[in-house]
Amino acid sequence: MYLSNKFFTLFIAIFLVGFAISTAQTSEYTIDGMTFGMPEAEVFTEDYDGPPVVGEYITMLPNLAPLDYEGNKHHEIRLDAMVQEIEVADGVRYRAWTFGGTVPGPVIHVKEGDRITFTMKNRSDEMVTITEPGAEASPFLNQVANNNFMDAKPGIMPMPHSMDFHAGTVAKDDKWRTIAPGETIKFDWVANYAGSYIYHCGTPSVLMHTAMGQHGVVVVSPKDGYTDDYEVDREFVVVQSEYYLKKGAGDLYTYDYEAAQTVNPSHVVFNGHQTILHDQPLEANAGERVRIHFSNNGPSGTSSFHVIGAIFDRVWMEGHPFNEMRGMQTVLLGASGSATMDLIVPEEGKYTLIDHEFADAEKGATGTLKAGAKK
Amino acid sequence: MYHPLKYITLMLAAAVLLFGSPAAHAQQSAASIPEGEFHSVLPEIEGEPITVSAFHLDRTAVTNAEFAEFLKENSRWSRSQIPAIFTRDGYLRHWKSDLEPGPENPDDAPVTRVSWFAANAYCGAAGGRLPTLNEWEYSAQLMEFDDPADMNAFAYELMGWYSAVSTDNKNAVGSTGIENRFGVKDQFGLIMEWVEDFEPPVGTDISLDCGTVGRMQQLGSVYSYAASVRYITRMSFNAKTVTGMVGFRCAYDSPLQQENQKAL
Amino acid sequence: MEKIISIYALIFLISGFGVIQAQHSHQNHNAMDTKEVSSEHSVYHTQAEWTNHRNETFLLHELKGKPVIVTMFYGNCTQVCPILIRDANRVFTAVDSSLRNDVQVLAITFDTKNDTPEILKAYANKKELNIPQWHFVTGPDAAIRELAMMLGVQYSKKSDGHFAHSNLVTVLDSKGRIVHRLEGLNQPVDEAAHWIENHILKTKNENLSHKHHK
Repeated sequence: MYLSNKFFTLFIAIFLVGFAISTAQTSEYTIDGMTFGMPEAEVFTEDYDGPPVVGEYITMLPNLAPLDYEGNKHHEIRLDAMVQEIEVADGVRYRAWTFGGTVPGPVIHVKEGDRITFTMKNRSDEMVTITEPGAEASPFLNQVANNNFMDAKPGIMPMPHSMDFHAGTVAKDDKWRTIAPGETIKFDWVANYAGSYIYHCGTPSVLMHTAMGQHGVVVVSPKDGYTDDYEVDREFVVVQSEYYLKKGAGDLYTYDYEAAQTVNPSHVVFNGHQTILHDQPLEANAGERVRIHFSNNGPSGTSSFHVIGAIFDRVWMEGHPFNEMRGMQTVLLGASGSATMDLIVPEEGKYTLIDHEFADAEKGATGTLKAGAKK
Repeated sequence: MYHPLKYITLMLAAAVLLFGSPAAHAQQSAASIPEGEFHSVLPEIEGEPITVSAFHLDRTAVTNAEFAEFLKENSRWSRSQIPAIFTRDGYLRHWKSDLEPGPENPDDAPVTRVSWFAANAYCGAAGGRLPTLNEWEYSAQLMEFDDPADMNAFAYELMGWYSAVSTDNKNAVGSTGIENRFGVKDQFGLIMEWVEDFEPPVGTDISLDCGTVGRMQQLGSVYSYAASVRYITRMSFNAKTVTGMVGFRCAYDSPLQQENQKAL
Repeated sequence: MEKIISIYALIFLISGFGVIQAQHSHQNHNAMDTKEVSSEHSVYHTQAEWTNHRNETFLLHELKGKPVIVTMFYGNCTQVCPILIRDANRVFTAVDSSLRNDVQVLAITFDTKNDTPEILKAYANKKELNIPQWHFVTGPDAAIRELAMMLGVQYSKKSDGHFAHSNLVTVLDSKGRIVHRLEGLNQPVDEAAHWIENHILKTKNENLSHKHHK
């Protein structure tokens, strides 16, 4: 009797403490194992002048950082908004609005269920160099420093910006809100769904902000993988996007508003540059299984993605393991649509990645996969 | 409390005001804008134009030289003295020193990297105020175009400018060649400008995200599209914001006494 | 048995506390919203000269040393502003009468054109608030705009001469920093009043201990 009384009291005490803690927390809740109800975003001003990209699993296209951890992880990620003058095609340079300094922005890799605390400073009024990574810098910055194929140079063009992660499920008027130059926004989100998701600036005009370069991809790898049938040998990320540029007064090109409104891009490219995937082709060997996480970032066009000489053995639409398709020659993706595609490299030689809408292809939407002999 | 020093200062200030506003600013005369109405991308009542009473507006934006003059007599607004409540970091960071724009920043280029508080104080000291948003926008669209095609072409240029603006700010005020029919220059093409109410109350319901442009684009013209970009940019500011693209000009309710104030 | 009852009472209490935490109080946003402000810095940095209803001019930082209740209104406002003034007064009178001498109240007009010191005096008399701690104040337009911006008060003049404006009563500490904001009308005043009382007592104690150390 005495013992059970004490036990009862202890149980109640623990229950009370737990209840108090849980109600004193935010309004988070779960449905189907997914977490919703993130705390409110914070907007503040801080004098941060460190690396503009922070995060261990962030890389430059077409690379994807391997997720070397079990279970879920809480990531601290920073992606600052800033201006960089970049080359997008031979002889074509313009001052781009970017996240992290490249167009498209860095590839963020997380696992389904991971929580991300994201910070972004609007540094559009500061000169930010991305080619001198410090100690804290993300692998992305090291890769850019070693391979600055866009020949990125800092620039200043103070504009309001915001961040919209399609991979995040949150209230847009809170987390995707616009901040003025100099301000910083910080918020949490949980990668509830597997897939490849665009992130882009949500400040109006979104057409302009996205076309000016503020977009990228978050790859959310499914917690149980895509298939148990085989292991993949190579994994790449490819992003298609459009540019609407016209020659400006000086050497630089500028945004062509009319072209953007009429969806008449000047360039349609893979991984931000008209010739990069030819100059630096994807590499594999015959007989290997190659996985491509492909996103059509738009802003406005569609993509009929095909690899000349190959057929996609398996395709998961939007990168979700549930959406498996087999034997696709061409995958049609609307703006912001994505797919994870596995192909078997048949033989040694060259394969062309292409947007089979030839008006796009002729504006640059092509790339090369170079295959060596079967190992 | 009786402060003799205060009285003397007041008298001196009155004398300065009587014989001409803070000297450097008087070098430009304000344009006289008559009462009128215009269709705003953020109307108070949908479909109805906004009426603006007659007022006076600086022909050109406030320049580095003019702001330096103001700082000489109001050093508490200088870079090293301005309190943190009135600005965020970066206030006049491009100037050589507290009172000198320096050789990199021409005297007659518009002053930028000043917060709303500083602009408001300057205009108050100049015997005026910041223009209201409606006054500024009303004046901006008082340009003469031969036909709609001209206006569209102009608006396309404007969009180009918003996506490629340079913050070198070496261009002198008046140099864009853009002028409204009352002589107000460079409301486009040079800098964005502070207004008294940059976050209009009717705008507080609009969260600045996708779709806002669609909501603002009721007027269906390229000009209104460009205007919506401008509104949105302004609405993202707060009073302490400081950027290399934002400066200001002043408005007045009654005509300024314009004496020849070359002597400083 | 009593133990179990008290345990259940405790559960009830804590769950109630949790529920209150999770709720948001929804304000009536018919008027203009107020803007976010920083409370790190004092608003007394403004150098403008203000004139009160006794036709005295003063600088805002002369109010340093005592907590200040601030609200912004205008004379011709017949529906909402009287409530604002009454709210400021409710905070003022909620402070214990023994400490009330150390509280200042500022009622600042948007309508510099019409609300001259004479008009303000008549207004003060009408409201029976022509007392030493209350100041009905006007000043240069730029100064009013600046202070409103610091307090987070939005206002704009309408074509009929009236003003659309946020409804806000702010409490400043003795250094001029924003410590309390009562947004909207008819807000509960106890928290603000208690804060003022504690602040006055604390300041008094600090002054006393300083005197001792001399």
